Amino acid sequence: MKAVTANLLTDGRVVYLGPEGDWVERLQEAQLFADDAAADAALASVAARIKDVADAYLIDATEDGAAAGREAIRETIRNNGPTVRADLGKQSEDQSSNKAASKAANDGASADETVAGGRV
Amino acid sequence: MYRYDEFDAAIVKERVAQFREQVERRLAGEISEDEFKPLRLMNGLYLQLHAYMLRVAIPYGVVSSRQLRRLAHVARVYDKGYAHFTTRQNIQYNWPTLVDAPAILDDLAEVEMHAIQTSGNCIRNVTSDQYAGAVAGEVEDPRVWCEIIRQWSTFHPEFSYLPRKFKIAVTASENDRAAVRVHDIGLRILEKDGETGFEVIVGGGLGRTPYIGVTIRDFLPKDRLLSYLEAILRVYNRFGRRDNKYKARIKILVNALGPEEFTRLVEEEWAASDGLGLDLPPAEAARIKTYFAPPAFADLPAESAAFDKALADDADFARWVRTNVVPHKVAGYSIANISLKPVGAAPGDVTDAQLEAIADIAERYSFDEARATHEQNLCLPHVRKDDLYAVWKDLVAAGLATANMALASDIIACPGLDYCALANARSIPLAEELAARFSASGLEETWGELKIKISGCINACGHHHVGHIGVLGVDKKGEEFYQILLGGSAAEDASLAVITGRALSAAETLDAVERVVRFYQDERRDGERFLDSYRRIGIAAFKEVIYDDAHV
Repeated sequence: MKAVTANLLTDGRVVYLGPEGDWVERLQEAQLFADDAAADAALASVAARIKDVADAYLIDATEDGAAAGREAIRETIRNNGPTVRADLGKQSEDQSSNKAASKAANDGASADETVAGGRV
Repeated sequence: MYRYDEFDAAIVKERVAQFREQVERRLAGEISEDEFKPLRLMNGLYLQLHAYMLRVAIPYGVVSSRQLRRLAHVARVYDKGYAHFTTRQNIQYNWPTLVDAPAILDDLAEVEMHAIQTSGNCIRNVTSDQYAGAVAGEVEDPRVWCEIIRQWSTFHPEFSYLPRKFKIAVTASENDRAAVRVHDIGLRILEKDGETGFEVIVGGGLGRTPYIGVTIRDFLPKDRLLSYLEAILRVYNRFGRRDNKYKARIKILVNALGPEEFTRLVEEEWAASDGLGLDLPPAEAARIKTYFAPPAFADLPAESAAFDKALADDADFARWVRTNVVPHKVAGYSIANISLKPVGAAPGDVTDAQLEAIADIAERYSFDEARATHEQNLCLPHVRKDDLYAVWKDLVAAGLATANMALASDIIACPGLDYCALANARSIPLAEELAARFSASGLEETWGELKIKISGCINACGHHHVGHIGVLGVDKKGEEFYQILLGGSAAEDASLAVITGRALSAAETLDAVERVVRFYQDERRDGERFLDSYRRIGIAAFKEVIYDDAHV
C-alpha cells in the first residue's frame, strides 16, 4: 500500500493525504492506495496545492497504516516523533492513535529495541 | 566581543525584511516551494523530518549573556523549550514554524544575531578556538581574524554561489581545538622572524570523501590574508565542479589537480590581483582588534585559598575541576568548560532555563561571555579561581555540571534520524547509551582523552572520520546498521579514522565499542591516550576485538 505524505507549509508538521482529500495528522488515518497508478495520481493531484504543503511524496504502508518498506524507520519516526524524546512530536499529542505506530516501530524495526537499551 | 556598527545592523535588518516578504509570498502561494527553498536556506531555515529547523549563527562561537537570554526566549516562545548546539559552534531550533521565522529573526537581530551563512553554497560561519583570548601561548587572538573574515565573507557577491558550501576555521594555538586540518580552509596563526602570519591549509574536509588539508603556504603575512583567501576562492569558484554535488567541495579540486598545481593556480591568481586593493588596510584591522581587547582582568595571585579549600572539601567539585577546568593565561583565572553531554540527554541540547542559567553565570563570573565549542559544549572563558566553586554550584543547580570534558562520555553526535531528513540511522540513542555505560563504569577519567564521534549518515556532521572512535550509521535494506572507525583525530595530530569492517547492528555496535575501550584499558602503557595506544598497536588487534565473538 502507498500513502501521500508531506509537511504543512505553515509549520512543517507531518501530514498525510486523507480519504476526503484533506490532510490528516497520522498515517493510520491516511488514504491508502493499493494501486501504484492511483497513488501516483493522488500525488500528482496535490502538486497544485502549494499553499498547503511542502515536499509531498509517496511512502509505503501496511494495510493497517504502519510505515513499511525501506523507509519504514524514517517514516515511523516522522509519524511519531523523535525516539529520544517521547514528550515531543505526535507521539506526545495523541496517545490513543499512537498505538498502531509504536507497535509497528517495535515489530518492524528490530534495531529499535536495542538502540537505547530497550527504552525506545 | 565585536559589536555591530551601523552597517552590520542595517544589513541584518534588511535581510530579515526581505525574508519576511519572501515568506509572505510563499504563504500566499505566489512562489512555489522550489522557488522558495533556496531563499529560506539562505536564511538558515531547513525543512527536517518533523518540522522546520532554524540554524542560528554564533560567529566563531562567541556569545554574550544578552544573546544567550534571547536564544532562551526563542526556545521558549517559538520552539519547544530547548535548542541544540551543533558541531560548527552554531545553535539550532528543531520546531520553529515558517510563519514565525521572520519574527524569530527580528528578535535575534535585536541582539546582533542572525541565521546568515548557516546554509547554502556560500562561505559559512567561520569557526575558531573556544579558548581564544583566554589560553596561554596564542600568537594573536584568532577572533580578530575571524571577525575580519566574517565581514569580508558576509554577502560577498562573488562567493554567494560557490560550487558548494565553504568552511573556514582559524586557530592561534599549538593545540588545535578548531579542527583546522579538516576544513575547506584552515588558518593557523603563527610567528616567524618576529612577524605574524598564517599557515594556510586547504582542502580538508569530512563528508563522503574525507581529506586532511594540505598546507599550500607555510607563512602568509597577516596583512595579506584577504587577498590570499580571495585568490583561493576564485580558483575554487572557477574550477570547482558544479556537475556533481558530491565532487564539488574544494577538497576534490585540490586532490584532482594535485596540491602543487592547485597552489600554483592560487599563487598566479594572487599575483594577478596584486595592487587591486583587496587587502584590509592595517588601520581597519587595528580598529577591529580593539573590540577584542582583553576584559579588565584583576591583578590576582596565581593561587586561591578559597579554591584550594573547596577542592579539598568537595570531591565532586574536585572531579569537575580535574576534567572541566583548564588554565587561563592570566594569573588567578581559569577557563571553565560546561559539558552539554549529561547522561540521558542528546549531545548539545540545552533547555531555555539552562541557557538563562548560563547567561546569568557568564554575566556574573565571566565578563558577560560564553563560547560554543565545535564539540557541542560551552565554555566560560574567564572565571576567577576564587569564583570557580560558586560557578560550579550554579552549574550543578542548572544540571550543567557534568564532569566529562574530552572523556569517553563527551560524545559528538549529529541529530541523526531522530530529526534529520538526510540521515540513514539514528545517532543520539547510541551516544546516550555509550555515555551511560562509560559514565557508569567509573573508569572514564582514568582513560583520559577519548573522543567518540557519531554520524547518522555519510555527510559526517558527527565528525566520525576524526573520532578516536568513530561510528557511522548506514542503511542496510531499511534497517539501521553502524560502521566502527578507529584512529581519527581533528586536533594538531590530525588523521582520518579507518573503517574496521562490516557494519553491525546498534546492539552489536554498542558492545563492540565497549570491548574496544576495555581492550585499550588492558593494553595501554604509561597512561597512554586511546589514540596513542591505537597508533602503537595497530588496527589488526582492534579489529579482532570488534569482530571476534570470543571477546564478548
